[in-house]
Amino acid sequence: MMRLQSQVKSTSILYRWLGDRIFTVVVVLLGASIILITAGMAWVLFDEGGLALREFGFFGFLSGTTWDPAVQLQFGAWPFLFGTLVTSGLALLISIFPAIAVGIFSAEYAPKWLSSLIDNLVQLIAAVPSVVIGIWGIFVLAPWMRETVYMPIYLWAETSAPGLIPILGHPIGYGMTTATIVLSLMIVPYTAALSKDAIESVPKEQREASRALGATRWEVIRMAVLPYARSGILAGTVLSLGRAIGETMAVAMLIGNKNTLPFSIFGAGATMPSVIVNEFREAVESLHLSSLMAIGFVLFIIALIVNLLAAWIIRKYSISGGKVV
Amino acid sequence: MDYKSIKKFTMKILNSLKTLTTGNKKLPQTASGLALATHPQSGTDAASHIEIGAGSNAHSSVGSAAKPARMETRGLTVMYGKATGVHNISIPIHTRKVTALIGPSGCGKTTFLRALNRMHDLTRIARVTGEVLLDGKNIYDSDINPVLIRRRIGMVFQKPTPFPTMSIFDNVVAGLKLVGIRNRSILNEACEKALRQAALFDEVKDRLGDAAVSLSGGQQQRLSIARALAVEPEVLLMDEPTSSLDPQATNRIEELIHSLKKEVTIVIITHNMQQAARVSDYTAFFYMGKLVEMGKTKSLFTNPRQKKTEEYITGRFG
Ligand SMILES: Nc1ncnc2c1ncn2[C@@H]1O[C@H](COP(=O)(O)OP(=O)(O)O)[C@@H](O)[C@H]1O
Ligand SMILES: [Mg+2]
Repeated sequence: MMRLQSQVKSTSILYRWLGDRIFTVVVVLLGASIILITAGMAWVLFDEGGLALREFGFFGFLSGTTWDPAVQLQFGAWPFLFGTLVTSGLALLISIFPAIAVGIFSAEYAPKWLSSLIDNLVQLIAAVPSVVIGIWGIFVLAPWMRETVYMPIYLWAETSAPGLIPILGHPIGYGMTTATIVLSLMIVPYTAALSKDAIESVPKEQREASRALGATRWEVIRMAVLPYARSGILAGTVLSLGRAIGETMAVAMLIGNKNTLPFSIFGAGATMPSVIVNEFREAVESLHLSSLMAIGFVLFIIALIVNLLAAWIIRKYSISGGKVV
Repeated sequence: MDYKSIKKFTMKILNSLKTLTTGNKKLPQTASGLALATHPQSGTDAASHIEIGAGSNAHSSVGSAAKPARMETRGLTVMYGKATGVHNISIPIHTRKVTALIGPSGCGKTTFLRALNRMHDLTRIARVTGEVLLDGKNIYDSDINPVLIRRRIGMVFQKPTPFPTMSIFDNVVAGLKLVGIRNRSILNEACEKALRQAALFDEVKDRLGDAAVSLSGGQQQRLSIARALAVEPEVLLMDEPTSSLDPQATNRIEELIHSLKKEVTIVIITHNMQQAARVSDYTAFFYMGKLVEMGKTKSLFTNPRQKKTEEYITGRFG
């Protein structure tokens, strides 16, 4: 016994000292590399986009409404910024309540088997590659929307309210509305899953306290669960917004890709990711290429802001150990 | 005619009747048997009737706390799947008395307590059999709404559980808002009353709008008690309400329990033998899911009938 103990000690002193050092160094290096890679990406985008940003100015580039790579070589990102903000914002609005409802149902109401079925379906939807969703949109959703929604409305407007025609736009099936609907479907799983996590992490004590006051099931949710989970739900929503803003393939396949304002409700439009993926291969002019890079840089900044916002919401509103921190 | 004028009127009759009887007393007692039999007799009758009337009136204005329900359990058994939480417990819960549940940890105290207001409904694997009678009616009957039961039988938990996003005021009146009371002055009054009952009012009266979580642990626990009291429950169940508190805060809660039992029936779980002796009128000793014995606290502590009880209260295990 004694021999064993001394044995352990003599080998372990060096081992533990060294192990500790190595582990620390590895962890610090990995952590630092993440920061370096991120900063490096930002730098590359900024550097490559520098030509365009110098030419038009940062805010001039953002607010420029003309995107003409063929004749004028004039590049303004506003149409794409606008397209991104509108499609993502509306997609968020459409999806947020159904998604939270799915989260509440799965966490609070569904029996275990149904809840895990829902969770799996939600994960499945999230795991479908966006190009597949894009194909489904092209062959199923867009034609269907055109026949059952866009065309009837358009035809009605043609006879009864011709003033609406420019706002509605050409009902070709591929456009802002179709892209928005697909985007909202694509972010439902994220909001739902994150809401469910937030709801499930509400302490049992909070639910029981409201139950003991005579709260019904819905009252428990309203009184104890949702207020407690609000930061998680809100942060989840913001992160889903980030997904919507960055979504590329499905949107590029369905939005119709029109580079010039004005965009219309049914008509074609574009977003920042969609214009990058569509024009990158054909960009020969260095100013054109640089402008696409500059859009990438703007997207990067937006992603950063969205993530910081989510982090801030969690810090500001989350509740731990019964304290609002 | 409002309440006050009726009272005035009856007081007037009462007084005149009093003078009548005292006046009669001056008469020779034997003078007229008939007179004595009619006038003074009817006088006292009327007086006592009025007294009772006024008395019950005053009581009903106090609210449901005026007449707490009678409660008892019969053959109460709680199973967690195949494991037994408590087995076959039949005890009375004495009205407007404090009943302490003691026993080593894991013996089923919490399980028993939560059966008394159907909190096990929330635990999927828990199954309750037997009866909990409230005024003779089993609260597990299928025609009983558990939500209404929990309004009559309040509960305070081991750890303070203020709703963290609500103010002190909103916490206290949370239960009242649930039943649809929105009138500000009623809420204000109920809040003050409950906070006073919980001996917290003076400490928080100037900061009712502050977040409930800004209070200290002891204050938060009294807030939880105030919140439970605000809905005027007839029975209050407390699961080790002082276990996370310092001695001073514990002291305050114990005093509070003492003053509360005038209005509310209390069942309290405690790990602390001294506490059970200090605050309770009756004590039930649980061991391994069974009731070993129950009796008046004094006799249980000074003269336990079972050997197990004696071993436990003298600290030989637990
Ligand atoms: N939710 C539960 N699921 C399964 N077993 C439980 C649960 N709650 C309590 N038990 C078991 O029931 C027994 C009694 O527990 P409890 O009533 O909490 O005891 P006490 O409050 O006296 O410490 C213990 O054996 C415990 O493990
Ligand atoms: Mg317990």
